[in-house]
Amino acid sequence: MKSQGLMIAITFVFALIIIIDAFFAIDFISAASTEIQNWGTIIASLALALAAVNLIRIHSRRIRLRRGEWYNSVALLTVMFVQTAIGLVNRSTGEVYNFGFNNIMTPLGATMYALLAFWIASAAYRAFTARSIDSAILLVAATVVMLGNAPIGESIWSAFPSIKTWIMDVPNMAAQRGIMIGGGIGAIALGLRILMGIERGHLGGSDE
Amino acid sequence: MKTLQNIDRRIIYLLVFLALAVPMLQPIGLPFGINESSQKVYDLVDALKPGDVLVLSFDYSPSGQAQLDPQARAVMKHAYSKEGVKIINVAFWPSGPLFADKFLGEMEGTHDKVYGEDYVSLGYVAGAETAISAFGKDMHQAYPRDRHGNSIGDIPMMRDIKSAADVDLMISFGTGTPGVPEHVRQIVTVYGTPFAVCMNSVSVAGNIPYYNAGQMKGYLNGLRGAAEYEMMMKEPGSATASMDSLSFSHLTVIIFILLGNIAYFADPDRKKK
Amino acid sequence: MKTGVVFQFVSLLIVCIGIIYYIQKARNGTTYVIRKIAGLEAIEEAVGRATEMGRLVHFSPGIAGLDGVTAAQTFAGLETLGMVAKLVARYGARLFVSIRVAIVLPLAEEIVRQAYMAEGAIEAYEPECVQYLSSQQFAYAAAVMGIIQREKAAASILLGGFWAESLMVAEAGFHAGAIQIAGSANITQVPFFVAACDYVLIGEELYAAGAIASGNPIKLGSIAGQDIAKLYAIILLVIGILGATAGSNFLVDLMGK
Repeated sequence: MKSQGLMIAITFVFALIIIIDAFFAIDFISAASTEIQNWGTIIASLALALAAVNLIRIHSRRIRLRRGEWYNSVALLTVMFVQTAIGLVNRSTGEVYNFGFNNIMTPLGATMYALLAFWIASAAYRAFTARSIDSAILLVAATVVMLGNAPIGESIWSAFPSIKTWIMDVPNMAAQRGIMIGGGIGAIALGLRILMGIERGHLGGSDE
Repeated sequence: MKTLQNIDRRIIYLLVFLALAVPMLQPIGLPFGINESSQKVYDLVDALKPGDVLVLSFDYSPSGQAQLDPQARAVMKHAYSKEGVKIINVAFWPSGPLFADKFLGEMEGTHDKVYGEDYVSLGYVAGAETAISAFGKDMHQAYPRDRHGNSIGDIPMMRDIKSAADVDLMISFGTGTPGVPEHVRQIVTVYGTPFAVCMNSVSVAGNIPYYNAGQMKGYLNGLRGAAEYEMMMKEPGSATASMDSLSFSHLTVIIFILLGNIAYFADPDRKKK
Repeated sequence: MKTGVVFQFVSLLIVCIGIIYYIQKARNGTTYVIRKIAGLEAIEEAVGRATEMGRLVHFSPGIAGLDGVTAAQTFAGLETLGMVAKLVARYGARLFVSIRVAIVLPLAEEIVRQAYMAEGAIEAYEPECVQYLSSQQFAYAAAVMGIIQREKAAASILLGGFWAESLMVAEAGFHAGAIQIAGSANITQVPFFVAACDYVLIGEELYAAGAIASGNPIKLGSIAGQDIAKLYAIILLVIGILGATAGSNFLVDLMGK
């Protein structure tokens, strides 16, 4: 528990430096804040190595023990090592590296995102039923916004885009602002609890 | 009714696919109007005068390409056709510069801007919101070199452009974080730089408060926004061609929602549940 | 002081003082009743169900890192992970924590290990239950979807910062028949969770989740203190609305100070 106290103290001091730097122009605080943020970037980069070790350990064990679908682990480790080697030899600006990015990563990313259209269709069909007054309002609003966004809505009834704009600009925006303000305050409260050592869950610790 | 309540999701997927694909092969050309928010983006770019500075920030990844590429293509075409306007391409997402490079490559020979004198590509700088803040404060420090390795001090057009206070319009093509809130906090609030956004549809609801508060002067809403921009440019392109697909896919989703509701209300066991 | 941040600084002070005041009151013995959050109540039921079925409990602290404004969501997720891991250790269920950001991995590993230790079940702790999947958003989503479907997870708890992958992961959980509890302060993703999950924590509920779940009176005091901050925001809103209606921009000018 001693180490937890030390970690809380470090968190408090570092956070204080960054907060002071946000509001006051003090040279040495500004330099310290930049330095701390640089450390953060370096630690985050080192954590990638830790993550790679985690992946290698888990997947090599899976291959060794021939656990279910172990061949996927072989594929994962092969691609990981090959792409790392290409990155080291060819650099991230190199042709071979970019070929992989443009012809594998880009289409895969775009495909995954495009699949959302299918998933939202089945999720909406399942979830958007008028079980209560609230869900009926949600259902009608969602339908009007969809029709207002697509050209076919205008062709059906010219007022759809105006109603959609009203829904987005008035009730939607009011709710969004409320959630934003509440979320911001909630984040400050969580930050304070962490800085004061009241919340220690992220350190694996118990309550104050 | 039981069948209606439990339609196999693969049937839904198939019908959505058809609703997307068929109109692409057989377009109908349904008419659509121009939203005020899109018109404002167009007007902001159109109002740029010789000597004005425009920053284009590419803050998206391949997953946002379908909606963001047509927007960026149309806006860039418009911006590069404006005589005397100085354009700075930046990115706060690692994949951003790849998109800027792609569009610049596509536009080669279609404009008379000269690299270094009229436009420059500064590439990506890591650090998300911190990087945006550093860029706003001092571009020369945030980007000591451009994407091609030239020292920023040697680039003629950058001599008098130091901070976001020297920028007349900033447009972000963005799909996530860092995105609109970060630009508003670090650029708009601090320097009062006019700011517009081209974003994917799902981000619109969350970012509308910034538009109504005047921190975001205009925005393009997904593929529809791109199509509207193409229409304002009087150059229909890929986004305009996709509008029928957008219509029919939306309609398909609405039909399924209706079917779900019909099945729900027709279910005699509903009240017992 | 830097220009343009005076108002922000004063506001931060007011909010912090309000929260700290309530924390101190709680320390002095005042108790606060905070409304129950259905999603949190359901976590124990979800873990119990997973134990009975002998199936997996999946947990994701989101795909945000530990820097920038979205870091608070990751911390909020990690706070709840401790509670979930303790329940899993207590019931003897199986846990799988999926990680997208490398730096979150050692934290999550430590939280889960400590939870097993706290429950006296360290021998049941398997280091493999916390796994880094990929830093690429959709590669991570694809991996989570695969694991949820292959393992037929009985519960999927998604608490943290989520973006476009939210619906993908939630749909995978639905089709695997899992009880799903999700929460995010990224409001654009909340509708997707609402459509696909059983329980959803919206915005500040996520930040309060760890505190409410713990039942710790001091933590609950900090939640009650948020009301002071909200009152301050409401007063500003009302003054701003009245000012704008009367054609005055004084509040906007003041905020820029």
